[in-house]
Parts: sequence; C-alpha cells; structure tokens
Amino acid sequence: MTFQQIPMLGLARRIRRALRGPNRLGEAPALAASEAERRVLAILDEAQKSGRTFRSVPATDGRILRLLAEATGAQKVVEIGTSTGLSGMWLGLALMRTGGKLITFENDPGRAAVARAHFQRAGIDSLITIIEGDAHETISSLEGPIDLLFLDGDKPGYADYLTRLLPLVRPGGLILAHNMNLAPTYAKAITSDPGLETVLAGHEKQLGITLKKR
Amino acid sequence: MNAKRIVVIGLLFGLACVAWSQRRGFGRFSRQGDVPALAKSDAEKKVLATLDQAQRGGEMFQNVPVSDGRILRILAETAGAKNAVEIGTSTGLSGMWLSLALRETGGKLTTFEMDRGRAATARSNFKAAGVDHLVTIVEGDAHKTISRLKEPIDLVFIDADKEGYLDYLNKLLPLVRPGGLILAHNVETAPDYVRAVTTNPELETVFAGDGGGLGVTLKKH
Repeated sequence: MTFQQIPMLGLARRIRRALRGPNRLGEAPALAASEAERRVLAILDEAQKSGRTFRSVPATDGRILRLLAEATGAQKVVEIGTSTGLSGMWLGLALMRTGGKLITFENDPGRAAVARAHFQRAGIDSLITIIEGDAHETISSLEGPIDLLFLDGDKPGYADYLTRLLPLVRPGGLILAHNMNLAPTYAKAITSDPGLETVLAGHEKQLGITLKKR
Repeated sequence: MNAKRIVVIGLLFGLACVAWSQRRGFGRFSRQGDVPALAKSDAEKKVLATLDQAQRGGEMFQNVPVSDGRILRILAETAGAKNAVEIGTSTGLSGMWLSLALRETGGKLTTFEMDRGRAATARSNFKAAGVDHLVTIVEGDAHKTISRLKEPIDLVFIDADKEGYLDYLNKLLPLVRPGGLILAHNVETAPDYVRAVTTNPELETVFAGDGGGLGVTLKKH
C-alpha cells in the first residue's frame, strides 16, 4: 500500500495541490493543438503509464525538449540514447511543426524495437531514423549542421560525445544533457568553455541546456 | 549538566558542518550561480562587467537573478531573435542579458519602463555595456504604449506589474511569430496569466529559473 492509497493522505495532497494552484509544470498537462499532436501525446501518456520507461526523460524535461526544438526551428536533431522513444516523441512534436528530422542512437536492440513501435503508432516514424549499435562508433557517420543535440546515453561517455559532436552543432544551436549531475567531466567541459553558455533546468534541475554561441 | 550541554552543542555544530560541506559538494553543478558566465569576446566582457557591477551595486529594484538572465540570453540567441520586447526595464539587467544574444543575432530590444529614475539608470547601464545602440527604452504606462508595436516579435519578456501580465499577453500574443517565445518573471504571483498560458492548446509552457518562477511559453508553429 502506497501513501496515495491511504484516502486521508491522498485527500490532503489534493487539497495542497489545489491551494498551490497550477503554477508548477506537470500539473497542467501538455495540450494538443491538432489531431497529429493528440496522437503523439496519447502514445506518450500510455508509455509513461506502462511504467516500463527505462530511465526515459520525465514529462517535465520532455516538454522542455519540445519547446526548445521548436523555438530554435530545428531541422536536424541528434539524440544519443533513444531508450524506448519517449524523448523522441517529445522532439517529434516539434519536428512535425518545423519540418525537421531526428537521428537517434540506441545500443539495446530491445529498447530500439519498443521505440520503433512507439514512433510508428504515434505517426512520426517518417521523421525519425534509429541507428542501432555503439553510438561512440556509429556517430562518426553524422554530418552537420546539427540544430539540437540531446545526450541521454552512457554518462561516462558524455564528454566524448561532446568533443566529437560540438564541431557539428551550428552556431546558435543547443546541446542538452540529461542527468548532467552524473557526468562531472562533461559538466566541467561545458562550463569552462567561453564559446558556450549553460544553465540547468527541468526535473530536479538536472537537464543541462547549453548554447553554442554564434 | 554543563558537560552535557557542550556535547550537544558540539554535535549540532558537527552536523551543521557536514550539511554545509555536502551542500557545497553535491550542489557544485546543480546551481547555476556556481559557475560564472564566461566572455567569448571583449564586447561580451564589457557587458558582463557592467552586469557584475550593477548586481553588486545593491540597487536592484526587483531585477532578474543571474540564473534567469542566462536563460534569457540562451533562448534569445537560439531563437535567432531579431525583435525582442520587454515589459519592465527596471535598471536594465535583463536588457543586458538579452543584449548578449542580440549582438550576435543582429536583433534589437524595445523595452518599456514606467519609472523615470529606473529608466535613466538603465540607459546609463546600456551605454556603459556598449549595447545602447541595440536598445530602445519607451517610458510611460506600457499598457498604453505597447499599442505602438506592430512588427512580428520573436521573444517577449514580461517583468512588470503582476496584475497586468494577462493584459500584456492578450495584447502581444497576436504579434508573436509562430515558434516565438513569451517569458514571464515571477509567474507564481500572476495566477490568471499562468492559467491563460497553460490552458491554450496553441501554447506550450514550462517553468524554469530560480524557484521555477520563470514561465517559458512557446507559441506553436
């Protein structure tokens, strides 16, 4: 039995939430502006409720991804660590609007298969290419310019991904890193380069958002 | 009795020390102010030095904290903002953060301020920072003066009278280009604004910055 299942505690939580108002992200859900968006959000919702998300990004971070990809007018987005495709679907919401494409790398064939099914059901598979295998090797096939790079793979590898992909990121483009707190070498690299500007946002402030200055 | 008291005080002091050091250690990269914004060029150095001086000056008049300023700069630059609009210049700190981006994007800032004294301070800050040619300050009641805006807006930053946020949104949203951003400072004190930006399906809103009080809203394409 969890806390939420104890009726009185659940009630207290609901009252607290109501008093606090809809000021916090996640309490007001992402809304669909079109049928295509509704379809993606429905698959996302279903995947999140299934519980088998394999360390995928929480909705808070997903919404930031979508917002940034659309605001930067992303034509080419690269993701390291597809997992089951949740972040890919959030990015897909932006790419449907900007006319962009996502290339996403995944080492685990099982997760890649789940992601592929998600993308297909969400109706965005035409926007996404999944590349299976060790991303440290397979990213050498990438060409620039990259508008947005999202790192969510092996944390010790973040610094290597950065070193190799930063030259391909366009000036004014973004590098996002999930769980940046777990990648100290990466954190040091991006906060000590004057050509970059970095802030932390999102769930527990662990999403690093880095601008490659123009 | 006395010895007991000393032991208790000693224990409490020890605990406080451990808590403090852990906070410093674990918080290393979880708080933005820990690693300062770095200058890529002499022009950037000049803006950052003026910002630093203004922040130490003490007379902040509810300016944005550094972490929010750095978010403003990142968003304006990645959006390639040509036309940025700010409601509530104050003494120009957020304007300087935005200018770091606008120098690079070839953009300009139109910023509205009611208080003459603050507008004058902002003007001298912009000059000292070498960004005065990028910024136009419009004095007076922004609820009236924003009607002069006609061009498409890439980024709006609202940081003024909280009860006025909704009116600013209603008046400026039609001018914001698809894919453009509307940012609002201290949204926790503007519940009707928050409701408006979180219930419109044409908008997507996230909350960032210190204490989650910076609303970042995308006008979908």
